[in-house]
Amino acid sequence: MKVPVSWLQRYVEVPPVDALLSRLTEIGHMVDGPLESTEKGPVVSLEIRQNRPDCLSILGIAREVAAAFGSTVRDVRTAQLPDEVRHSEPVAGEDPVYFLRIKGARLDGLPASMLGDLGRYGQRSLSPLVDLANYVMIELGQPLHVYAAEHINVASAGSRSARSGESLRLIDGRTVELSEDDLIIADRHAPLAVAGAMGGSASAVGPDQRDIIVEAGHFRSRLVRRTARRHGLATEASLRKYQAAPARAPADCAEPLPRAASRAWPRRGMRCVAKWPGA
Amino acid sequence: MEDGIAALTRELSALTTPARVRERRRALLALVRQRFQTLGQLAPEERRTAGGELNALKAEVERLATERLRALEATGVQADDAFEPDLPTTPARVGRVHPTIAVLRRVNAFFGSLGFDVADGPEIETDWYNFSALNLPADHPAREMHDTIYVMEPDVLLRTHTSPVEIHAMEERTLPLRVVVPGKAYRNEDTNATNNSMFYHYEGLAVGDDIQLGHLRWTLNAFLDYMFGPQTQRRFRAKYYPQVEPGLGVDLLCRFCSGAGCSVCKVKGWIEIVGAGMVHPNVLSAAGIDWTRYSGFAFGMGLDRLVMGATGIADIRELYGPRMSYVPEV
Repeated sequence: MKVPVSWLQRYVEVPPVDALLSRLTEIGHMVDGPLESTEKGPVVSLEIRQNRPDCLSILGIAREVAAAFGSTVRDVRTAQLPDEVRHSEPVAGEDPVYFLRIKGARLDGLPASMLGDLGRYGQRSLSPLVDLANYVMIELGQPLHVYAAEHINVASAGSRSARSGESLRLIDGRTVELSEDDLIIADRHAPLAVAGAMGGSASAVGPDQRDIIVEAGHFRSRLVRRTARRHGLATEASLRKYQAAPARAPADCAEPLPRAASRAWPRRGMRCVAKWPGA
Repeated sequence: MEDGIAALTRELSALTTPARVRERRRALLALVRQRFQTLGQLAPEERRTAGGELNALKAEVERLATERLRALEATGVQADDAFEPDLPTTPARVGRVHPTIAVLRRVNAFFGSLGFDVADGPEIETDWYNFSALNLPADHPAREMHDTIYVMEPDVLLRTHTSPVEIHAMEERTLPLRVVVPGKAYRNEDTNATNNSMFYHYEGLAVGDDIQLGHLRWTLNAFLDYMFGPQTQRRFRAKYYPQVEPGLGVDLLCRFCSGAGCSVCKVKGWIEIVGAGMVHPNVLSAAGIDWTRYSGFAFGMGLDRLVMGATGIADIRELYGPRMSYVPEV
């Protein structure tokens, strides 16, 4: 995984790069690529082994650095979320999903500093909302998916096995034929996304999207892995999911997005209006 | 039949070196064979006579040549005298040990000296021996590291490493146990300069009373001294493998760039040579060993990488390709 040191520094005091790399290598995260230098500082490349999916994020690496050098991880939360968000419950089941509705997201683009972080990580900019979701995923390790609110019936949405005969047109333009072995996100009308891997095109957000639903799931890794393999959906998200990135408390899952967004657009003030479904 | 052949035959007794005798004998017998082939053109009566004469001639050639060779031998004619530089030869293709086997024997000799026995096992394995017993249960994410070639999904496969032999060894042998396991392994990979779908693995296992990490470290250090020389810089670092806990990666300083980073070491400055660790309790249990009483260490390496290092071959395909000229001396 690529780790821009400038991004890491948000969370932890970073020692000189040579010391950082030799210590991380010693404790099991081997340097596996050249050290890149950018105007914002170096970008290091680490091999994260399969036992440490929790390190597939900037925060995860920051924890390792803090533990290895005896420092502490900074708390960077900048937004206080409404209680209803913090104490909400996920849609229950073996593959719990958490939905969060955000209204009034007026997103022209991420600030240059965040776009710079994404670029140094190696993630290209797609659209403001997707960039933001990717930013959260890379920073915290939790893949998020963003739906256009008018194209998802949240009250009936959740994770389930696909039924044979169902198909889904994906955001990359392909149409996949689903089977009972596939885990999907669906509402009562139709499949919406391949869980943990890729969303459908019908509910995708466009550049002018104002009302969105953010989905954060915790799926059984083997299901994500099998589905991703079957349909050739090896994405950044599915990598984290099929390596069984650790479970996070439901409120920890989707709320980083408005948190990150409030950092990106502090005066625009997106409102988290409700948790869905339920109360 | 009283012709040149008869004269040449009589001269056998006058030749002065064994080589000349053998050469003359070869030429005469060739002539005799030729004449046998022309017998078919003769009338039946003549054929019988001529055939008899040819058989007599052949016997005469053999008798005189043998006699002369014995005589020359008795007078002590040296081989050197027999050297005839103008004799034509056919170029010979010299067979030799394949470099992989040569290196394998060297490594075996080292571990043999430490009391390790060579264990062998099937290349077609079951899921249990190749994965589950090695602490890689179904759907374990680390299975992603192995792109498996299945003979019959989901249970029969070509082994992806030689570790299954270690499970067999633990089941079949008594403790304490020391084995090395060289052999072929298979992965469903696109072939390129550093990866081949068939490759050689070399693994080792020691299980017994009070086996500790220090034993592993000493063993690997001794091995690296033996293979690469005691001055070769190495490092031991933590590395996860599902079969072991704790797990180690052992690297050598890249000899092409001395740690500065180059294309051979993929800019890491170090080249990984061995993966190792203390055998995971789940693995000992799977093989029927009481992990509360016994412990063990295991290590594994890609033999091809050692071979490529020893021979300077930069492309693994050259090792297993069909072109004999690629196979160098080791």
